[in-house]
Amino acid sequence: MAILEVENLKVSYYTYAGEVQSVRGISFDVECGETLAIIGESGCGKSVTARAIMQLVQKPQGEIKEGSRIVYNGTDILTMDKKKLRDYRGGECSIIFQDALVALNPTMKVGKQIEENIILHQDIDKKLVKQEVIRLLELVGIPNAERRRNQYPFQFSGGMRQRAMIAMAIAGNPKILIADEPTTALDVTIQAQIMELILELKNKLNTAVILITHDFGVVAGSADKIAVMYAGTIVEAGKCEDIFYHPKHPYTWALLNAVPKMEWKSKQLLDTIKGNPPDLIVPPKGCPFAKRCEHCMNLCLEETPEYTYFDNGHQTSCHLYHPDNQNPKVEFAYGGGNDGQ
Amino acid sequence: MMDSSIIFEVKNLKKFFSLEHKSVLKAVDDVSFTINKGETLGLVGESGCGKTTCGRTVIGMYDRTEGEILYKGKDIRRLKGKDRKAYNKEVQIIFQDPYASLNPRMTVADIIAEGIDIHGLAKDADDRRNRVNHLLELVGLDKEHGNRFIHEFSGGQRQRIGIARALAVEPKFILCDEPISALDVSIQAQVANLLIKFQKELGLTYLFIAHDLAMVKHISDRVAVMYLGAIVELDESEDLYKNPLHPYTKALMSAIPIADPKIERERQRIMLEGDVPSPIDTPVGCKFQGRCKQCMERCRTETPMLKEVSKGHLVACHLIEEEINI
Repeated sequence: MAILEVENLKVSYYTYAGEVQSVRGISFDVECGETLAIIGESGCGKSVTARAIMQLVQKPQGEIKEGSRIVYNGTDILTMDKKKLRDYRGGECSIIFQDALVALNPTMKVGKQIEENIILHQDIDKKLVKQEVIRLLELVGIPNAERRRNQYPFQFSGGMRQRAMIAMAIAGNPKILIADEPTTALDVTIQAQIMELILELKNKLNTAVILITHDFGVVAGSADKIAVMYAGTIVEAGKCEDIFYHPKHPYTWALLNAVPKMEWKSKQLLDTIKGNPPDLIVPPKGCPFAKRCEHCMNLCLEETPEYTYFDNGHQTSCHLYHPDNQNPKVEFAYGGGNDGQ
Repeated sequence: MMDSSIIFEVKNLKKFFSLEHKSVLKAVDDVSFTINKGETLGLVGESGCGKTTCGRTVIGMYDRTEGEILYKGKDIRRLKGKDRKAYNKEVQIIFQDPYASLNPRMTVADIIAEGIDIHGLAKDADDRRNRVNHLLELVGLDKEHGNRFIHEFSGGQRQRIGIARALAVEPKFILCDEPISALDVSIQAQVANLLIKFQKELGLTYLFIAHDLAMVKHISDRVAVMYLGAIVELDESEDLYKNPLHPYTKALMSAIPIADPKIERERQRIMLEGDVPSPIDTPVGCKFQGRCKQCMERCRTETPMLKEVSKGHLVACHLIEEEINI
């Protein structure tokens, strides 16, 4: 059974320029022990989705629209009272942010910050809290935990800080772990370490992981399901293999081909996506990707595409799969065959 | 007799920063390499390994501590008068953060034309305007964009302006200091394509600094791997990625995420433990000794030198040295 179900989630932010519709009606679910990856470029609404799940969208500038439902274990978190929400946040569902230095309190010892979460969410004897902090620090692979506990975030390196964040996130034994670009600010070698750690903990604690990233490489080894987001909507979702080997949406094609592959010849031109993402204050009529799409048809500019469903829960919103589409079938091909001329 | 195909020759370059309590930060410690005309030399390594400092010292933005930097056979420190001005025109840089490196109070046209004005490249106001418009078109922007300010542009567009600014003075060499790291995937591809295109059309030479290994391989002819201020391996990019020899390069290559679930789930990673150690008061011997699984007695006492193992493939490692007897 799904531990978290998100239905028709809509989030808006109010700015001087007008209402920015950051997330425009997305639905997905995650099961225990499963990793869902949400992929998209900056501004597509992936981090806002994470914040909404944590109930961190602040009023009055931000608002989760009516009709949205975020159901955790049978209860809609949007209707929870403050007390329940406090147990939910950090206890049932916790988040790892991209920039650990900003997310951690600079004036508080790392051990103390982890302690807070333990005291809040675990029924534990005060005397044992210190032991628990050390156990958690060791669990996430921080050497000299006894000494490290008494240091401040600035004394930690980037990778170590991210580990401390993870220790804090798992202190309440959460059922859902949201990782919002956990490795974007890190080097590749450290990135590999952190991803390994997250997967290891997921298997050990059987948590559901929602991994938010823009990097297909990070996702390939870790995700079970993938949702590709564009302009506040999920344009394609499905099993990891389906998305990588049989992607259906032109945006997914473009994303997969925009990253150079190791086996490609050097200095060939990469496939690019023309133009920029649409302005979400006035979302475009029809398909949001239409203006940048190579396979755009008249219909795409007029009508928002409905989801088309394939095997294994693979779904995409694209008019190419419209039953009345008479045009020749277009299929995905990995780039790299041409020499860029 | 100087080889005219070499644009930059760097010999035993050192750049140290003095800190308090008499400690010294060795950002670049004994680095030697050459950059040939028309090629792209990639410089990769983790953050803090000294790649940016190395690049900036090479073009003379930082004053070197020791060593020799020859630009077309002449020491860049001794360039005076006309030579100095020509050097400043021919060597340009594109920065990582286009917002921090472009003046927010100047219009885009003025930013691009600043170099044109300094070097007196435009005959009159018309010529200046035409040059700016041409450059804007070249990098895929509109000529109307010239009247706007930097804050009105997206990250990718800003980086295009940064490139147009560098190209305005008809450079021969551009130091690309992580020009695409801050951009989105689809925008990265656009900017990378621009750089590749200009190199082909204008015969530019690049020193390309980045930590995105896949992108570096894609753009570079040769790649140098840096660790803690020293180059540990240097080779043609295709060969280096196929056949890395240094234990650090191997670990680095195996950490690159591959966007293919089957390969990614089956491959064996060489996990490096810990972080890059501090470049302050580095140990004697090999810089990588603390994280190397194959560390020997010799590595702790003797610094390995960069030696050629096959044509154009240089490695600094005692293990490789002993294996193939050089």
